[in-house]
Amino acid sequence: MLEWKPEILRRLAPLKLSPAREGEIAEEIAQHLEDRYHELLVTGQSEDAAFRTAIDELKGEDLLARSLLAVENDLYREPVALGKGSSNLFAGILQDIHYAFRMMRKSPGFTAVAVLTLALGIGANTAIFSLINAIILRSLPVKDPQHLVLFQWESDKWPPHFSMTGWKSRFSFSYEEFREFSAQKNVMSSVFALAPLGFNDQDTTVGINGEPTLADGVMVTGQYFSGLGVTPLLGRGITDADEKPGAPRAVVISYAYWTRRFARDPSIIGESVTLNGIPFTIVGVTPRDFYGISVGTEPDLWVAFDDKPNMRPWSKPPGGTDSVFTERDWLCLNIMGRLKDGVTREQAQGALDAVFHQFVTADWHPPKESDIPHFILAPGGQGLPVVQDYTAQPIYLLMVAVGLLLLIACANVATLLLARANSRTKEISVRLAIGASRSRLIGQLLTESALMSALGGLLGLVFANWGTQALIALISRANNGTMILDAGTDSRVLFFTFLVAMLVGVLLGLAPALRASKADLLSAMKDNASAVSDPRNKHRLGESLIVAQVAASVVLMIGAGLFVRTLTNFESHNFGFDQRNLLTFGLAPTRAGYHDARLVNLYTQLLDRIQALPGVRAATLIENAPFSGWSSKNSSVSVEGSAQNPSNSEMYWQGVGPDFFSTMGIPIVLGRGIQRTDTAASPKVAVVDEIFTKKYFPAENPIGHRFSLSSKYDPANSYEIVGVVRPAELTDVNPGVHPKGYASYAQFPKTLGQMFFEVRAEGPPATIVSELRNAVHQTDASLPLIGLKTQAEETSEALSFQRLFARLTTIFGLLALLLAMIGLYGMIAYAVTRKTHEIGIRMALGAKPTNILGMVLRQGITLTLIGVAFGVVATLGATRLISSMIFGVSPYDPLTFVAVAAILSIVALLACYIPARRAMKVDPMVALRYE
Amino acid sequence: MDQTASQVEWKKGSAELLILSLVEARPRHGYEISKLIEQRSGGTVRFHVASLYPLLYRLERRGWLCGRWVEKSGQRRRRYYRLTRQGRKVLASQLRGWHEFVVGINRITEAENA
Repeated sequence: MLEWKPEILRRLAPLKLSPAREGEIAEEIAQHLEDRYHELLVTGQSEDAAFRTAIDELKGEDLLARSLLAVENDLYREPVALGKGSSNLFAGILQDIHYAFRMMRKSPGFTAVAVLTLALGIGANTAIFSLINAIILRSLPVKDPQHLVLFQWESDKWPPHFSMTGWKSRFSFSYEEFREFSAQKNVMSSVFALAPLGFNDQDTTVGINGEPTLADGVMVTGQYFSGLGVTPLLGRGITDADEKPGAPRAVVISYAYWTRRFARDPSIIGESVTLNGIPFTIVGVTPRDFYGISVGTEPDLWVAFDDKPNMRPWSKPPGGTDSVFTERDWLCLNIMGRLKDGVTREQAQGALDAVFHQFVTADWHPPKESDIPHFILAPGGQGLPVVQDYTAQPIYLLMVAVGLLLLIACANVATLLLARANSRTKEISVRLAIGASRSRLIGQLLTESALMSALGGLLGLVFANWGTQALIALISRANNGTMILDAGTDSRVLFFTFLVAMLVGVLLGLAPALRASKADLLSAMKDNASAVSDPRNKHRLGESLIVAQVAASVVLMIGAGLFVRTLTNFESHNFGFDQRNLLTFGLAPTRAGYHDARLVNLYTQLLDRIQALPGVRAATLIENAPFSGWSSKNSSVSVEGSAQNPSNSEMYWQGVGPDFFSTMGIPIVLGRGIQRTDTAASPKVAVVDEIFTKKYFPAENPIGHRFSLSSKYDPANSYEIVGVVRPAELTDVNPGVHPKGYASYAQFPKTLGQMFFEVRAEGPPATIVSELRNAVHQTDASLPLIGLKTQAEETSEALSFQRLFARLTTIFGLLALLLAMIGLYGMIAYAVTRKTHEIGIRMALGAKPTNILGMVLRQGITLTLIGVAFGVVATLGATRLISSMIFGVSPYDPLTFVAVAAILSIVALLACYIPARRAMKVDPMVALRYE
Repeated sequence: MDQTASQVEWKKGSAELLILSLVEARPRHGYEISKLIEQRSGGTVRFHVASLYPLLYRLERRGWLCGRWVEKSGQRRRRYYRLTRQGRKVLASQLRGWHEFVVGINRITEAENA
């Protein structure tokens, strides 16, 4: 064929057509000219003349281009030549997305696995983030929360005579201080304070139509509602007028309580109820989303601050001379406020600190100026941190766990994408060859992974929604149903998910994109039979991804293992008393008007009645039921005759009833237990445990010695030791080594409030429940039973947080294992497919199937073992962080480490075995034909 | 309108019709089409390369023709054009139009000359 094409191409050049189109036109016209040329030769023309006549068909230099211009440029839409540079950025992106969808549709199985994997990873992260958002980040649902401030103090030493009550002493102040802060009207537009009405949850008896029920009550000062900027849904809030002496007693109820107890009766305002026996009028209902000032808690009702019997903060029993309003050294209030317009937090802090300093140093002069506590005005938009303090560490730990899980998911999908990118090398080389720019190609591949992760993110939101609901239900159960959270998906959660999904998309796309765009055109287009001479480093990336996945799963699984062992250790732990067939319930007779001797009489009478019930073996009393959430009192202790008290001389002690040790199954080692004869009229006696005697009487018999609960021995208020018992854990599930003591409750009736009954049944405790209720009801119908349950249930509930944590980390650990194994399986299976040719040659040369099996398994196991090694090293560094959360097991527990490594290796062997078996069955003849 | 311009317009209008009718019976390649036009018109109508192929491409873009590379044994591959369903409809209506036009012209000229 003559050289027609250069002539034609020169004429087509001004049109700037795509290379493909240009080539097509040139070929067709060249064919035409060639035909014409041969025809002219046949008619007898010379070759030279024929050539010139044929070329003349092109009619000059520019006619062809002009005629084609209208057709090719305006009307002609180029076929999608992917990766080709486009002047229109947006059109390019649309084209990329369109193409990405097409690629995903082409391999639905791959897409489904990748999107599901990503959805799991992103969903788990979104769920945990929703919790962090709900508990730690979200502001109170009130007006302008950013202007709220929280009063707080900080100190190494605190005036020793001050006593504190509350969740967090650093947020506690006395009413006197509150009054002085309130006077600072130049910096604060309002200051308000609050304290719980009861000492325990559900510690207020509400009489509705004469029937006693339990509720959570809060006492607030007059500016609580106006300061927070909360407008009640119905009626009004508590105001300054309600605090005036003699004002009619008013109660505001929560939306949830209104729903639960009054079926949202709109005519509830003005109705009467009794609180701890005192008549109140319902004056308001709070809005639906208002939960007070502490996320995770939700009071049922609010009343004005008061100091009357049965109507004092923290169920404080009557006694002492001062009232709550004037007692300078009882820090029982939490204080918040709203800054005055134009005043900064720093300015207000300066003014309030002066007030605080004056108050503290009024009757206390520490030797060092630095011992004086100083005042902090913290941002109050998130309210008082109650739940945050004990949930923050576990939640952040869970966030780390799901972060690892997401990394594994990413590595997994990246491995899949890499494998696919290898099989797409040819496609990409062709695109590069026809003029695609590398940047456009990278963009294209990134679009594909971004689309995949966006789909994963969307599905992840659905998973996260379920996950968050389940988590909140679990957490609420772990807190006896008292933790109320709203962890809905808000804009912050959506933004987080979007960010994570985009990050994942870029991470995923980057490796295959960079690799693919480096493709060597020639070699890639020439062949795909790279099986025999596979350059080692070509799979380095894929292999390191597998190693990373295995390592991350090791970290998660060892973490899970340690928490599971913590849980089993707790469950099998001997707490020092017998939990079998033990029932517990509380009573708060002081709210029904029982005090002093009458109170002790009631308890004695009830004990007699219960002990006489059929099916009851024994019954006794204790101030705080084991694991009820409240620890016993801790107090300084000083022993008579001992010149120097051991350092840290503290003991836990509480009042118990007669027969306490025999009923609970705590062995008495020396002397006697608390008896019925230990009353207010008899000498004060105490029983101590062996930890106490080891510390204070290492060499002598402690019976007959005396001690007092004060930092200096006080003979007037001393107790005589009458017995020694084995140590028992009656406070909470984190056993300490504190000495413990028990006194007869009947010897200090003035300070008695709520007490718990411990009843040992002959058989299953359920059989005596109704008998117990009747016994209490017949004694006094106005006394509600508080928290009736078996002691085993109570202990199990106290463990529910540990159980929840063990369960969650196990789920995450198993998910991680599953993902890593899918990744390993995928990689080995892919390698086997690629190596079919090589395997065929080896077998043709005499390799036995077992050699092949060994070869494939070796690759998988080597990667797994490297991953395990990295994982173990990383875990050794990380378990330190959880050492405070595990119990009875070392953070370097060899059993857990070895077990996890073994499980992982065995599962990895299985994951490799399936493709390895396939490799073993390769038919050399078929394999050698295989390209 | 000068003579050359009117000739060009006339040719343009009829060229589409000529090409469509030539590929009606069977697919043909570009050179074959140009040869047939030249032969059947006795050499009075001729398309050179620079106008034939742009025209073919335009008809293809409009969806009246469909071009396809065909490889026959022992030959270089050629692009063959066949009439599409839409092209068939267009051809029918153009033929009808031409027919009516010719009949109309004849009537006028016959009446004048009678």
